[in-house]
Parts: sequence; structure tokens; C-alpha cells
Amino acid sequence: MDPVALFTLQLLNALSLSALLFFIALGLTLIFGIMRVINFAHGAIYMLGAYVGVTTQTLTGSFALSLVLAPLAAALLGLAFERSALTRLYAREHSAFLLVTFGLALALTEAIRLAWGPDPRQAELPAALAGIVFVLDEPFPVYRLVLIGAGAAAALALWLLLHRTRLGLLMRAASQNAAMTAALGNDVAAVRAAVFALACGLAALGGALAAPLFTAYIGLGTSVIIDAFVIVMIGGMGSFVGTAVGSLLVGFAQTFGNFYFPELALGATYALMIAVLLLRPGGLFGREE
Amino acid sequence: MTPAAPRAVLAAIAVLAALGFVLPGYAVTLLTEAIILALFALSLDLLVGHARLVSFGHAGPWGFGAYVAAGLLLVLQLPLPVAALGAALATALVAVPVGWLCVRTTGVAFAMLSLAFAQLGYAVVFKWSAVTGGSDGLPGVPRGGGPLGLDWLATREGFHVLAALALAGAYLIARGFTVSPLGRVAAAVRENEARAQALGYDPRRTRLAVFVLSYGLAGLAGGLYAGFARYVSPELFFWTVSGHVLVMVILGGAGTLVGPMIGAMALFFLEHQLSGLTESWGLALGIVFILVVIFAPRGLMGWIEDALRRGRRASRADP
Amino acid sequence: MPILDCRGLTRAWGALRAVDDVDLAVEAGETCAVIGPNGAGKSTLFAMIAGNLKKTAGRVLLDGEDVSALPAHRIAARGVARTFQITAVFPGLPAVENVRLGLQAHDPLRRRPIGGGAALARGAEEALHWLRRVGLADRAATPAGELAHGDQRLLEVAMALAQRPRLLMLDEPTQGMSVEETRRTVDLLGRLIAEEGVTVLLVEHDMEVVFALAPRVVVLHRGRKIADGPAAEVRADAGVQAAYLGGLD
Repeated sequence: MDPVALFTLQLLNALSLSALLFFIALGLTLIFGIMRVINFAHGAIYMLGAYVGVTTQTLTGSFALSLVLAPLAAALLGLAFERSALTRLYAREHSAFLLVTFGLALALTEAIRLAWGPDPRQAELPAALAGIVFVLDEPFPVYRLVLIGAGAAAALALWLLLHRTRLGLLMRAASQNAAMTAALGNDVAAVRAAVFALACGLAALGGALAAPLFTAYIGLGTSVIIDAFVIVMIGGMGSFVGTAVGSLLVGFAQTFGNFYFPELALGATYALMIAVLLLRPGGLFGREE
Repeated sequence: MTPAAPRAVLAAIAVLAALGFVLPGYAVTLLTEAIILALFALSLDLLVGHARLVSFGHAGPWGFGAYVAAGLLLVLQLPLPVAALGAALATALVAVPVGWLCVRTTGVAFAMLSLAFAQLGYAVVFKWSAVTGGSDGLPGVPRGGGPLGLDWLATREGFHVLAALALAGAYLIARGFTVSPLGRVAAAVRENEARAQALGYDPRRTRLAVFVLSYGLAGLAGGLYAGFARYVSPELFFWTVSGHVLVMVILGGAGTLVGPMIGAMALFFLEHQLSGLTESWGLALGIVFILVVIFAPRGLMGWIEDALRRGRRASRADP
Repeated sequence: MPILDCRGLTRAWGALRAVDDVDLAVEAGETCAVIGPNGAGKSTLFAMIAGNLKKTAGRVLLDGEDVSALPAHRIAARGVARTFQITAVFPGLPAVENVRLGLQAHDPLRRRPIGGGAALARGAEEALHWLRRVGLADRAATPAGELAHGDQRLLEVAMALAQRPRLLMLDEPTQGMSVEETRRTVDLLGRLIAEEGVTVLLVEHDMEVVFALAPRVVVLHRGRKIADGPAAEVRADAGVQAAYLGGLD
């Protein structure tokens, strides 16, 4: 194959992987921004999105509907968990939050195993998305291009939400100074709940989008959560731009690394995360705490 | 904690060791594994409970110790106890530079750093096939007794006793540390870092001491596990292992040393018994874990201590 | 030779000079108070001396030795003890253990990772003695975090004195106390300082406290030292009056 075409295809592959990672990392960073904690359950939520997506599609035949129902289900679950469990922990130290979200990850993974069984589930892509296009005379799946578009659209939508809406204003204010935001008469508890639900919805949307590509299987969440951690730590916890850049870095490192340096790619991402955490503890685009 | 506690713990471990000669073979094997897990949880409690450094990377020293021991057993044909001790020492040695970097931070950043180092170990072991066997791992790890009539240690009962001895020794070391001058300083750094520093204690070096001790004991546990399973694989390094041992510590009662050991053994046997009976066992465990973190942060041991206190008060009121 | 000798201490945050070229020498046995309106740079000065904050310029000498570059624990080990403006104790540890940790700091066995029972027994005995001196002996087994606010501040004083410091730095020791508590605390501090013969550097808001404890007063205003002398003179100083009334430009 022509090296230029090969490189271009790898580039598109990397972008589509970055887009999927962006959905899950963005939620993590939103939650961190406002609550100063890491949500360990985010990978399991992503997995839930994949399963709900597949089932919706199997039952109704509509891929579009699966992209609505999966995030909706996850957002409701997130809301319920935030209201019932997390609110009790904001006064405690951060490790309690870390542990309780890890508990949710355990419980959710097992609940999914009970509900869907141990076998992987896959749904067919609708015909319109299942085709291939020719990029520099080489075939490339249309769906991967769709993913790139979806990632870009999500980035734009979130940016507008953060900078053009009242909720976004409150989210940014609360991430700067929650006590002051509350003192000014804003309902920070409601903002937290909204952010957690939104973040879960985003992760599940990513899962539903990923399902036709990777299938839904038990363990989908455990591998992807580590990638998301790496992204958020490198980009800067709580930073929108940092998350976008981090997603691209990890997406490219994995795609190109696996192709050109398969021995080193896996370790290099972790080494990069360690280096960033030590040299710039706030991440590349985060502020120092 | 009453001063009698260590003696009670050692007596309990002695009973566990003696059970190795009484129980049927498969039960002894189970009990041996439970003892190794108890040692693993004990080592993590030093970090999580005593120093309040929540590590999500304890699979790192566990896996590292296992691979070191496997290497010593496979390549150098060393006797089992020597391989396990070698694993502990090698892990403690590696923990010095790793810990030096990790203990610059606390809280979430520490959790993420410890996780990243463990995953780095996973990546190295997974990809460096020439040495580690890659994703296949290293099968057929021998249990050599070596000279000096140590062959008995390679038998089912002998290995069981060896594991119990290791647990007793590790408990004495961990307990001795927490009540020692340096251990008290570690508690002070946990409670208020700035205050401890103003008294003249170096917070980072104090945390490093706990880190190295904790990793060394986890390496010992991992080394024993390699001899137990006779097989090591990259999965030992995977982060879910770190999460699993963390659950054992929290459910048992972080900061009590005894609690995590009980938690590890209880969880291991419950898993073994219940996972066969009901499919929803894992879900129930997850929910119980969430409830314990929220409502009973002192875990099983906190519950036991409260019950004992109530009992003592009742007996005092009614002489 | 003064115990503490600060030369040209400066701390700048961007263009703002929180502490600006301050010289301050404290002789052995002296009690010296640093006063000034909010934002005068008192806490910044304190933090630089204690090694909690990097200096933009200037040096700190302890007994003639330059300690400017040392971290806080090394400075503490050289005999500087302090209390914090916002109460800092070990909340989960018993009161007696809080004080014992102060004593352990100069015990030769302080870094023993195992054993060391002799050091611990020595310390516990002596710690009780210190608790008695600040009137907290009956609360020895109580976790420090469960003590009343005023008692926690006294506990901090006991911890600092237990370090047997060359220099004791008190950061607003009566902060948050009632009038009655303040009066009792001032009496107690005055007595302890006299009995121990310890050198004291005091930051305080409450002028009553300052004039009751410190024969010498240093005034900071906008980061600069504007007065330094016997308390009575400083009290009468027109510039100081103006600074406190908000004038002086």
C-alpha cells in the first residue's frame, strides 16, 4: 500500500478513536472540575451505554433511537446515584468518593452481567453507515468518519453549553469556587447533580457509538477507564481544552504506536502520564491546585 | 486496640496453620490462598489505613514480587522461602524510587500515580515477551525445597505453614511499625502534614518509609502467590487486582491491620461459596461495598470493636 | 548574636510586594510582637521565617547560620517551634499523643521504625507534664479534634513548647477566643514564657494581648517595617497611629 495512503488511513483511525475516548474523558473532567474527584464508575457507565444501545437497536431496529435512550438511561442512573450516595460524601475526604464510585463500577458491571449475560452483544450498523468510502483509493469505513464528526459535534456542543448558557456559567463558577458560587445564592447541589448526570450521559453516548465497532462485552469498561484517566491526567483535570488535546494524544499514540512501535506503545502512554503528573501535577492545561 | 490483640492475632494464625494438617486437601489449598490474600491486604492497609494514601496500584508490587519469585524459582532453582524473601527485598528496593516519586503527592494524584506505575508494570510484562513470556505468562513455576531438608515446604502442608509463617511475620512487622516512633510520625503526617512538618518531621520521607514497607510486604505476598499458583501472568498487574484488594481492606476496616486480614479471608471464602450458589453475588458485593463506604467507614473491624465495647459496658453495669 | 536575624526579607507576588525589605533581629530571651493592619505582610513574614514560603530576596539567620534555603522541617529541627493562625493539631490522635510527638522530635530514637518503646514511654510521661502546665491534663486521652477551640489552641502551645524551641513563633494565639478565654490565655502564656525563658516572636491582632506579652513591638505596614522599639514608644508613634487609622500614604 502507498505509504501516504496508509498514513492517512491511520490518521483517520486515530481521529475516530480519539473521538470515542473524548466522550468518556470529557465526562470525567467535567466531574473533576466541579467536584474535585475522579469517577471510577465512568468506564462501567460507558459499558452500560454500549449494552443499552445494542438492545435498543435489536428491539426497535433504530440506531438513532439507541443514541437517545442509552445516554438517557445512564443520565438517570447517574442522577439517582449522585442524589442518593455522592451527596453524603462531599463533606468527607476525596478518597471516600473514589471508593464509592469504584463500588458503583463493581455493582454496575455485575448488574450488566446479570441482565445481559456473559456473552458479547453486537448490533448491525444501519445500511447508510455500514458502507465504505475510498480515501486516496483505499477503502475506509464510513462509520469511522461519522465518529470523527460526532466527536467534533460533541466538543462544539459542550463548548457552547459551557460558554453560552446559564448552566455552563454556573458550572464554570462552581469549578472556580463552589463556596462563593453557593454564597451568591446559586444551587450548587443542583449544578453538581446536573453535571454528574450530563457526564454519565456523555459516556453512555460514547458507549452506544462504540458498540457497533467494538461490540458490547463485560470488561469494555475496565480497559477504557484507564485510557480516560490517562487523558484527563495528561490534559489537566477539569480542563476542557486539555481533555480534547489529551484525547487526541492518546488516540494517536495508541493508533500509530500500535502500528509503528507495537512493543512500546502501551507503556509509553503510562510513562507519559507519570511524567505529566510529576512535572505538571495539574496537567498540561490544568491549573496547579 | 488492647495490648493483648497481637497475641490473639498470632494465636489465630497458628490455628490457621494447624488447620493445614486437619482439613482435606482441597480445603487446605483454599486456606493457603486466603492466607496469601490476607498478607496482601495487610500490606495495603499500611498505605490506605495508616498513612491514608489510597493506592489504586497495589497490583504493581504484587505482580512484581510474583515475577521476581517466579524468576528465582525457574532460573536459579532457589528454595521457596529464599525466593519469597528475595521477591520482598527486590520489591522494596524498586519501591524506593517509585515511592520517592509517588509520595510527592497525596489524595487523588497519589491514587492516579500509583495506578499508572502498576499499569506501566503491566505494559512492560505484557510486551517484553522474551523475558516475561508476554501475555502467556510463565507457567510451570517449580516449588523447590532446596537443600537443608526444606523439601517439606514444597508439599501442600509445608507450603501452607510457610504462608502462615509469612503472614505472622508480616503482621508483627506491620504492627511493630505502626506503634514505633516512626510509625507514630506517619500517623501524625496523615492527620496534619503541615503540623507534623512544623514539629520537625519530613512528611515526604515519612510517607516513603510506609510506602517501601507496604510494597515490600506486597512483594512477599506476590512471591508466595507465584509459588502457590505455579504460574504468573500479566493479569497479576492489572488494575482490577488493585481494586479487589482495596475492597478487602475497606470492608475489613482500614487502619486496623487485623480488619483487612479478616476482610480478605472473609471475602475470599464468601466469593468461593456464594459465586457458585447465586449469580447476583458480585452485585450484592458491590452494593454492600458502597453502603460500607458511606455508612460504616470503619468497616467490619469498626463493627466488631463497637460490639466489644457494648459488651464490656454491659458486663460492667451488671457485675 | 541574635537568635533570629532576618536581613532584607522580601516576598513579591507579581508586582505586589507582600513583604518588602524587612530587617528583624530577635535577641535571646526577648519577646517581640509583629503587628500591623490586615494585609500588612505579617503572615507572609512568618511563613518565610518558618520555611513554608520561598523568599524573593533576603536571608534568615538562626544563631548566625543561614537557614534561608531550608525546608520547614529542617528549620523546626534547628529549634524553631510555631503555632498556626488556623488551629493545627492532629485531630484523630489523643491530646497527650499530640504533645508527645512534639517531644519525640528531638529524641534520638525518633526515627526507629520498630520498637523504640523506651522513647515512647519517656515521651508519654513528659507529655502529661506539659498538658498539666496548660491545664489540659484531664483531657489527655481525648482526641485533639474533639477539644474545644480554645483548648486546641492551648494544646498547640503545649506541643510547640514540648519541642524545647530556641525560638517560639506564635501566630495570633488568641484568635477566635472569647474575652474571658483571651485574658486567661494571655496570663498563661506570660507565665509559661517567663518560666521557660524562651525567645518569642508573636503575631497578634489584639493590641491588649500584644502590650500584655511583648515589651518590644515591630509594626509592618504594606510589607514595610515602619516602627520597631519598646511597646510604649511604638504605641505613641504618630506614624503607627496613622497606619492603624488607615492614613499614611
